[in-house]
Amino acid sequence: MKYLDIEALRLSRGDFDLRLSLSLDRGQTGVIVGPSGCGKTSLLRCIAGLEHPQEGRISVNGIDISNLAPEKRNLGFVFQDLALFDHLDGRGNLEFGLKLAGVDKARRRKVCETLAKTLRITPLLDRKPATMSGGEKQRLAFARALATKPGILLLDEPLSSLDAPLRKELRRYLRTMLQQESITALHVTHDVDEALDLGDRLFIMNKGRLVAEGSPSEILANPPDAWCVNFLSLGLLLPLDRQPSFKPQPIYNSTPYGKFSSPGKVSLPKDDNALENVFYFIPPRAIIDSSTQKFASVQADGERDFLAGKVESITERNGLCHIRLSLTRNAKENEAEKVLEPNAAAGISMSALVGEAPFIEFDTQARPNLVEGAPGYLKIAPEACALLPGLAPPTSAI
Amino acid sequence: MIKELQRTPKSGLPRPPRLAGGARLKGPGSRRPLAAYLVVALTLYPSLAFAASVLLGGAGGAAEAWHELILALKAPSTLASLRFSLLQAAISTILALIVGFPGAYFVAKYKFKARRFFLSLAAVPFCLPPILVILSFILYYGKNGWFSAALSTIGLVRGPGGFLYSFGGLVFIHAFYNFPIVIQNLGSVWSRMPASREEAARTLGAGPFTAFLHGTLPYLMPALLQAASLIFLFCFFSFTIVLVFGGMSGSTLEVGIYRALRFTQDPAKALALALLQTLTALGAVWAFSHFDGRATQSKGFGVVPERKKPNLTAGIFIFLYTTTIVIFFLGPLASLVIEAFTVRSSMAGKAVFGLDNFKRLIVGTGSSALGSPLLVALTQSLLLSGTAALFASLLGLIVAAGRPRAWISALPLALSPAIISAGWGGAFRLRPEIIILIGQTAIAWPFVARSLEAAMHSLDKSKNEAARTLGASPRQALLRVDLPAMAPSVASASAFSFSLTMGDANIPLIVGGSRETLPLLLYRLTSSYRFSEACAVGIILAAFTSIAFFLKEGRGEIS
Repeated sequence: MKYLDIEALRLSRGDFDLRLSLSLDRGQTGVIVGPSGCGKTSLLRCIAGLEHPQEGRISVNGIDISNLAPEKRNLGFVFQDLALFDHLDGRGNLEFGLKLAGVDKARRRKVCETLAKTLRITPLLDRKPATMSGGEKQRLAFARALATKPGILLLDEPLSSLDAPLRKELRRYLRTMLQQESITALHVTHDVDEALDLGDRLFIMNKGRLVAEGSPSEILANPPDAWCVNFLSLGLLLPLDRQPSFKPQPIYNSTPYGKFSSPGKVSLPKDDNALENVFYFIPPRAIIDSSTQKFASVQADGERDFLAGKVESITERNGLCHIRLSLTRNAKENEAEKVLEPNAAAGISMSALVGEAPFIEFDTQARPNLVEGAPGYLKIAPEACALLPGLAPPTSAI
Repeated sequence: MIKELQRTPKSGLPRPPRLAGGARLKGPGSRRPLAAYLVVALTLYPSLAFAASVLLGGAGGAAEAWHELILALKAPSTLASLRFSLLQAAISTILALIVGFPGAYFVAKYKFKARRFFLSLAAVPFCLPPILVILSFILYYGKNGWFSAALSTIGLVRGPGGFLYSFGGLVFIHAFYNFPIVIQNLGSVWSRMPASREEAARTLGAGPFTAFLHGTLPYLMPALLQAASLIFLFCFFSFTIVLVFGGMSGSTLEVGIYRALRFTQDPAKALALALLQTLTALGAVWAFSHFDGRATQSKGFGVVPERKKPNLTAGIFIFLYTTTIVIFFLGPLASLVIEAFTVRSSMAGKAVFGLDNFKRLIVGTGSSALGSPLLVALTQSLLLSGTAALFASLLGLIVAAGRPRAWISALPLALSPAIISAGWGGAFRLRPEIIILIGQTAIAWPFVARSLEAAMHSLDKSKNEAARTLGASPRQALLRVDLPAMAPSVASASAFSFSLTMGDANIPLIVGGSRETLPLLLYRLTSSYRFSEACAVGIILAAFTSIAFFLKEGRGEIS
């Protein structure tokens, strides 16, 4: 049995419907990431007892807490707005839970001092929240949630109110503290970088369902569907304009922007109907060469496995060149003109503006042999690509 | 969310938002408070002139005048008045809070049919003149009132008819007159409050009650105290209601001032009472300004929980509460309307539905005192109050534009209208109509100033700046962007000041004179127990005083 175990949870409210199962090992940090309105905060609130799911069982350390009042669940919750008590000073906030637990004054003081020292907030103890900066409030809220030694720490986008540099600093702080104190934590965010940075395990949610879970590296290497690729900005997605043929080998995958060989990974559902929305996924790491002219080898290869377009920009930063290439359509396919619209239901948009060509962005360490504003060609290694469904079925079917 | 927080309150007394530490949000334009201070000074002047005339102008010289003042201050009747004023205002305020608190909670937390009705009630204390409230409460709770009759029909003891004229009756009327302020001011703050602090307390081990105590109550406190200090101020200055109902149990300072000026010709006594009144009221005005600023400060930005549909228990409580309000508060108002259209041939005669009450008022009954009273009173009222409202709007606009410190524009709220009128009369020997005009202007402009100040603060500064970047001069930006945005607020503030002046019986009663106004006619008809005709006048008066209310309703501001 896992440390945190959520089984067959169901929370329905009007149009909204949350159904999932999820579990987490002791000492791990799980990060729930998903677009706004996907139900990630509701999930956290269900665990805390602030929402009442219609079905399901939640247990922490083997103890079923599903039917307990929030104050009996022994968990820490850091709210998005931090929810500090403005009428109490730092110490009052920190001691709040201890006082309610009946801890005597001397002991409270000691716990408070120790915790403040560990979390480096001793100067905040005698100040009211109104006099604290955003980062200071943040640390205090975090400390307050930890004071009662909760079985699990729930963090509801606590960093979202901070500006970028401070957010980065506090993210580092949070990661250090969670590891140092080996706290089991569930962190909710819509910030993909934050999720990849903080999580031992990632849970990706969409529309009330868990769509992917795994370690960050697993998910980055094997995104389950085009929706995840798009949400996590993992690379280029090209819709197939023809059903992929599975014979003869190798598979030819025809897209409006070129043809590609059999990819390294095909994760399509067995259900044939689902093939209508199939995407050829090209991650930046699949780019093995770039040139201002067509590759000689391409011609021999039957015009496959390359991307053609215009180099929009080359920007250098920290020794890396960041290149953005907007794709041009395959000239020979013009007569076909049948471009499959991206799966609207999956919420995938190929480009920000209607009519704008899709683009691919990637980094290279060496100065590339491309020229800004000139045509550019990229050689693709099909082994690093994947054939993905638009929207995979939820991982935890209920 | 931000928009939600910045929305100005819809009650008759909107408040300028303030930043932490007392720093005020800057609207477009800079502060030019000179004209504003001048207006405030003009309002303060007659009171000072009155004090000076008492202290310096006495027949026996200054020393004797001082001696008389000290004697008047020490007199047991003075202290009794002070004690009575404080006590009735405090108990009325507590009662109003008790009656209003559940309403504020329901309005903030639940979706239900009567929600809009409760919010609309907020206009009542401002748009319904006290004299109308008096009349309707007599009709309903009096010896032959509907409420008493209903009690005896269902077999209960016949209603205690004298109750209204006791201390209990006075605070009862005050509480039911002012509780909508609690619903409005507390309810609006409560409904914008994020749930997260209460939830944080729960996750830290607090039960629902402790969570409310730490997560919600501290944040409600400023709004609660703001409403309380406003209601205290209203009840403390209550004049007409005390004049009619308080007679047996005691008299407020304001009624004492009126008696000293009109009947016992004792200016030293009037000054002594006024001094005590103003000193106390200054405390309440300070508290009001202080908590007013704090109540609007945004606290936290967490998600505000959506209003729920009430479950069975909550539904029952909402139903009971609504029923209570309808029986105790709406009942009197309904009886006023019905009585106005009820024609009785004699005191015990059969009642028929008709317009005879109105007819009799228009034609007159032949008695010399009330020749053809209604049209005369109506014309006089419209003329006087219309002019006063116009002046009040202008002065209010000047003060609001000058943006003086909040407590300065609230200062006139601590002055006795009776003394202001006496001051003008004494200093310049003006005709009574002019004194009434000036007095009514003086009581109305602070309200206009406050509501316009709030409207100015809620003006979107970036729109003015956008106009500037698009090539508008400061004047053009003001004329084309800010003023059109302000126009509805100016209109409703003017209508509101018209409600105040039109319904005011206080100043005409104090000043005296031969001019008849609607509230005066109403007062006289009520005092001579001609209730049916009084109600007919009341309906006409209400039609005018509620213009501000309907303006706001029509614009959907009350929701």
